[in-house]
Amino acid sequence: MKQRIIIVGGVAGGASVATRLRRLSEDNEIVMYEKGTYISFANCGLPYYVGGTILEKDALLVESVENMVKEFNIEVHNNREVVNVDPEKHIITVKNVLNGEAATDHYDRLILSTGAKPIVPKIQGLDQADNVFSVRNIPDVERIKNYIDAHIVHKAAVIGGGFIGLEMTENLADLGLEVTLVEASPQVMAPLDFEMAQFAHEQIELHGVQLILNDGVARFSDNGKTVVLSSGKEIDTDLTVMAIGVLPDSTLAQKVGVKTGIKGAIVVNEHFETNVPDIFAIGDVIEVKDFITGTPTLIPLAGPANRQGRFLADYLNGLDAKNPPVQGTAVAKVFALTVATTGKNERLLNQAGIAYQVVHLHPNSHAGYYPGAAPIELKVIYGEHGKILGAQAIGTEGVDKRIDMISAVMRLNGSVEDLQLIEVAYAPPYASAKDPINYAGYIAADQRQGLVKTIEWHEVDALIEKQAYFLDVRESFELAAGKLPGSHHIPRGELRGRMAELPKEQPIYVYCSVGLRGYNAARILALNGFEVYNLDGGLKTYEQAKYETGQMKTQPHLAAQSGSDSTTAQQAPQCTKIEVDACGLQCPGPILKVKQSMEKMNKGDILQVQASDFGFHKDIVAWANATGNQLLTNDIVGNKVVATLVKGVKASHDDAAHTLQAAPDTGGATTMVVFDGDLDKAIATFIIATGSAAMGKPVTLFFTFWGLNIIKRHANTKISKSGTDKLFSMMLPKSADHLPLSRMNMGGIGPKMIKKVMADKNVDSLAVMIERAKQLGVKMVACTMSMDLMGVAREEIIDGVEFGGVASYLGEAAKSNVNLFI
Amino acid sequence: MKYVIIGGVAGGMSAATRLRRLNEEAEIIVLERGPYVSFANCGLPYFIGGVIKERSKLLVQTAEKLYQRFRLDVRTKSEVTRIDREQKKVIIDHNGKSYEETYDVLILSTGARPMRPPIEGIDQADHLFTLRDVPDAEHIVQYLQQHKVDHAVIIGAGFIGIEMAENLAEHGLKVTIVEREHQVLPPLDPEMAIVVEAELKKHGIEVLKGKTVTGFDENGSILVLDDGMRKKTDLTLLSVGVVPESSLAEQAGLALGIRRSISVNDHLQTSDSNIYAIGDAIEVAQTVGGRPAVIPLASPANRQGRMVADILSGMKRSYKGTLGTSIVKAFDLSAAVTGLSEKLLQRFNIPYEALHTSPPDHASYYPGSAQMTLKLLFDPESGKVLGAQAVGKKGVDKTIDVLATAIHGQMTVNDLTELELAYAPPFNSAKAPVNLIGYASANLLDGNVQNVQWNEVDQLVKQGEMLIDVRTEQEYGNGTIQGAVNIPLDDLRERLSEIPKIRDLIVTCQVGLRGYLAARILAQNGYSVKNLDGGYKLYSSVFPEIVK
Ligand SMILES: Cc1cc2nc3c(=O)[nH]c(=O)nc-3n(C[C@H](O)[C@H](O)[C@H](O)COP(=O)(O)OP(=O)(O)OC[C@H]3O[C@@H](n4cnc5c(N)ncnc54)[C@H](O)[C@@H]3O)c2cc1C
Ligand SMILES: Cc1cc2nc3c(=O)[nH]c(=O)nc-3n(C[C@H](O)[C@H](O)[C@H](O)COP(=O)(O)OP(=O)(O)OC[C@H]3O[C@@H](n4cnc5c(N)ncnc54)[C@H](O)[C@@H]3O)c2cc1C
Repeated sequence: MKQRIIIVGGVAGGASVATRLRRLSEDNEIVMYEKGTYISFANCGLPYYVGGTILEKDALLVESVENMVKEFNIEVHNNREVVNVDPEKHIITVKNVLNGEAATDHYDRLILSTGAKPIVPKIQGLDQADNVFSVRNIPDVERIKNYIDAHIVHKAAVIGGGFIGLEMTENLADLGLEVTLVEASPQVMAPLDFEMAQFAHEQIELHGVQLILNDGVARFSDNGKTVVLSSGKEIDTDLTVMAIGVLPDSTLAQKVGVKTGIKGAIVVNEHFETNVPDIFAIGDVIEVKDFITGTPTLIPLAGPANRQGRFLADYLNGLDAKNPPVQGTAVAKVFALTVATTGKNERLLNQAGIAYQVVHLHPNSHAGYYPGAAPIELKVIYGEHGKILGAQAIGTEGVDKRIDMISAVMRLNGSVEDLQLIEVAYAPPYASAKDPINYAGYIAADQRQGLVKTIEWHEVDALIEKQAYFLDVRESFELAAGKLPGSHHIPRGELRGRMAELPKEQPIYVYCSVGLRGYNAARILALNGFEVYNLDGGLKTYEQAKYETGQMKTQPHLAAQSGSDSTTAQQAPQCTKIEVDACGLQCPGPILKVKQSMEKMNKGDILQVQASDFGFHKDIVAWANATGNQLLTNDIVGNKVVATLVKGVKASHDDAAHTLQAAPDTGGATTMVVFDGDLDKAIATFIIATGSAAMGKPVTLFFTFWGLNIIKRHANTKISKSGTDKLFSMMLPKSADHLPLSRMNMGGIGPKMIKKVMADKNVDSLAVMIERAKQLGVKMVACTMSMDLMGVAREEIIDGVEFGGVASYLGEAAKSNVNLFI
Repeated sequence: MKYVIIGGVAGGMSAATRLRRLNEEAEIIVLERGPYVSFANCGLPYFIGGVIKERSKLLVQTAEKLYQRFRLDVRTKSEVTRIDREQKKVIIDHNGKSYEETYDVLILSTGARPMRPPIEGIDQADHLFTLRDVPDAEHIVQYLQQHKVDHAVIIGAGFIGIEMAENLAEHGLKVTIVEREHQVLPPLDPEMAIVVEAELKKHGIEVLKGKTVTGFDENGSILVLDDGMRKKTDLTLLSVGVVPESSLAEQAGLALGIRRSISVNDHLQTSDSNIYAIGDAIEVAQTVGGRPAVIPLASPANRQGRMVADILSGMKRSYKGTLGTSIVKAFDLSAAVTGLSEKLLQRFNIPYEALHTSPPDHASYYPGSAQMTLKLLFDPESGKVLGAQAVGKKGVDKTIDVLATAIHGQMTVNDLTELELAYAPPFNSAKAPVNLIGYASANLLDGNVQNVQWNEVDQLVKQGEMLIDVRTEQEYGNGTIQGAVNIPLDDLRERLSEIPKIRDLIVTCQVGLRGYLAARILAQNGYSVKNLDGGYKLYSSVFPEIVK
């Protein structure tokens, strides 16, 4: 039987249902009413049209009116608003929006796909502002573009940090505008949990956008040129985009007695039927069933709207089709990052009272040794029986793929077991043999089986306060980039030999940088009878969660420089520049690479390093500060961090060249630079020093950076210190009694010598050795420059040590035939 | 407990490290014949090509690090020459000295070695290489550095052959590929592989299909092909497949499976209950159809390594099978496959339906989008997905990975339509490629449309069926399938009278979508009509010489 099917709304849902209806039936009359000029346009592309990524407006028009008519034989009425419905008589009233004329039409079936409209709250001053816009359709973005063309626009404000707000922020920034993003809640992107949103916050600020959280718009003043926030803060703006969310566009439905629920969304059954006979609804305007909770919810996304359109057409043609529950899988580009989510986050699960567990991991997008690999910050949330409840992922590569796979596993009501078993297409440019989602499955399964107990980032502070025993199992060099206050340090590789140092009566909280070594260490300790917890996601997740917005200089692409003498780089034009590629390396990989490269360089040489892990941006600042190397630039270039450093530039004040010329040609002396503060290195140093001195050679030990720890007094010297100095001394061991152990080689001499000593001597012996060295006339010099940098005061250094600059070392070195760098 | 593991790379090292994490006390010995353990074999072609610059990047772990971190006793250059099952010990050769090591449990992860067919003159051939490990790669790199090499010939166009062709070509060599089958990449079906072949040719690689090398002449400087062709070569790579390295197992009398792989049960246990085996050397069940197979891939090897450790540590685990998801980069293209191919389905007599689409990887209005060719194979009754293949510039890995997930979950084509995939214009379309092919397949399943395949259409036209090309006049003018008449879709409804009702019809368009629309119109008007699956695009890529 031939039917007249009228569709209200001609974009995502409306166009889908119309075309599918036609494909299934040539007989029915299919009629589309659209209030706007355009039908079937790509709303999701609108922000990119503003930013100029999409150049042609026509590109946004998926199907033209003409095509709809010709190819699909659909009757299209654009610029027509349906203003009323008589459900009894099956008649609609239509208003021509161009001239106001009214008309009527008859339907057998009526489909509402009226979408959702931007929320525009009644804010004081809004009516007087001609520069405030929202973004829903093509005319909206044309208005924005025209405004920018016709006015002088330097500054823009975006109100609302949802997907649309962020896309608009990026696109306005791409136009070269100075953008301020205002979000009323503590984070952008509500589908993310806070610690994950912090990656987005940092990214936004790295691109020079001013990010204001926890603050909303109170009013506009100055004809919209000033946005006044609830806090009283004022923002100058030439153009403002309101993107604080959408509401179901259900005015028509409500008018004719269609039942609505949450925020006015139309209530439909699984066949898209409303309470009014022959009226159906799809898309952003309806309530859908939440995939996890089974309760009604709103999920205004294009994928579901399209699917619903198709399924409704199927149902109307007698095919078996039901509205599937919705997970809310979504993705957005946030500058260089891709941010994707599926299912529920912790916040929503807590609200729903559903118990869950989480894992955080930071795997590489593909084999680290193949160019272009970058970390994915991945979070998977699972519940009873390991069933997956949600996932969040952020990174520059391969993010959408992982969320899509997890989304598919969720469709199967799959568990973390399934994640382990998914066989992904692996070759080095695409994945790893153990794919990120396999890893997530492995970690979660181990958690479930009780192989490892974990704590989350938000539990750390309370534990620190309670003086819990935190054990840092990273390598010594990594500590320079920060560690948990009061934590103890045993590198993972030494753990088996140093378990005696650990308390048996108290739980041990292990951590590393990303969670993997921590897990391995936790296994070792657990198998040795300790009560042990691993910090899920490692220091990286914790530190990211602690990210403080508003600290970064707003200058785009350029972050803080360490030190003030940035002129030194120009002073040394003859120095070599070395380029290092640390992409695909996960923290601490890039820092290690920098350290290794620096060791081979000469003072004043420049190192340029690029990394694909954004965490490097922070780490390198801390590292450069701690090691006395100067950071010249620290930029975000595309999806990489590019930093340049000058080696040991601060020492250039010392008149090294002069000293060198003056150096006499005496042979047979030994000079050692003690750079690291590890116990074994310290012991080795003094073995060699006392050995050489005993052979009658003049010996000079030059202590720099961590090496200074060896010659510190016992901890009771209390000296008042200021800010950053305090921070460093917190990170540094207190004296020779507290030195960590490293795995040092020293061209083979070190370990052999140490072995014997280590066998029968304990920590105290180092103090004894220092005394003996002094007696043998070993000259000890503490480097003043690195003391400054490390925040070590003269009072903290043991007696009998001289103070000097690099020049004094070079002077000694020139006289020596044995020069060791330890 | 004393575990001895033979083979220290993908499977072996996964097993060893996991065993340690689960058992702090166990004694774990890893015996590796070569000089390195835990290296990244899959990166070797890219190391040779210079894409991976530092050799050290390929060496994932060293014996010392493994000792320090995992207390693993890793012994390189230690070849196991015999297994004594009676006495539960292995005989090891280290630098020409032989010694024994007993075991409680033995794990074989001996991998697979490159096949070396007995071609005439092969033993006298110089500059003939195979590629399995770091020393192999170093030999090739050294050879390239020390000799003037202009022309390389690669025998075998499988995954490794293709990767090497690309990497040698990027090195500036003139490369020829010789392949016995009538297509490159035999795991793919021919109409998919042809897209890859075109890409290889575009980058100057000569592809000789359907040809075998029958001899090496002049110390390998000349390759003799079965058609008499003589091909000069400065460097030859033999990449004609791998065979399970099972001689140890065989000597020890362990049960073997197909292609002399090691038989294991679902606990990865061999016929000797104290000996387990994993990785490329074992026989596995195919996830789809359950038939025995040898599937030499890194990800299953890693998974099996981990699982055998779990099993040995008392966890409840069983190895269910291998799907065989794999992917290869060929210049700007990616080609990926999961599940069974059409060729295999035919060989196994499994009923199937095939479908091709050409979706863009992401919204075509957002810059940089690229069309891929996607093929789905599914059960014509239940709609269960049996296999998939994709070739294209972008989104290929994602699409196949989602489909691999779907096969893992025994999904049907209807389930594909419900998958909720992350959509924003830079990443996907609101109807993702996976959704779309699900829709199209569901249409077939529901009987909304009937398809003909690229390799059936000519025959049907010969038998008198009418072929209608529904693209625009201009598209039609630029080339069509022989015998096609043109009625553009937009005019179809008006021009129905031109089409005789008595004839069976085939409609075609560019990729299959408009053809489908036309087929719906015609079917509803009482015609018997089929749509050419994949459209002109697929047909003309397979038969470029036939279309005008
Ligand atoms: C800027 C922007 C970016 C987006 N980005 C994404 C993204 O990246 N990914 C994603 O999944 N989703 C995105 N979305 C959401 C997605 O566009 C919607 O989910 C989808 O369009 C909903 O389809 P719909 O048919 O329900 O409503 P719409 O597509 O909004 O269509 C509703 C139409 O109905 C018309 N209408 C309303 N009332 C009447 C009436 N009484 N008479 C006649 N016509 C009427 C309206 O004019 C409108 O054109 C984005 C949306 C916007 C605005
Ligand atoms: C060039 C190349 C590229 C590849 N690319 C990919 C890819 O992109 N994707 C993918 O999935 N797979 C790829 N593979 C396949 C993948 O590397 C293998 O599937 C995987 O390594 C198998 O792991 P395995 O542990 O079974 O064997 P292997 O990793 O091969 O390890 C076996 C080891 O056992 C040693 N051994 C054997 N016999 C003895 C003995 N008697 N005594 C002591 N030691 C012994 C061998 O020396 C060898 O080192 C590639 C392989 C190669 C060679």
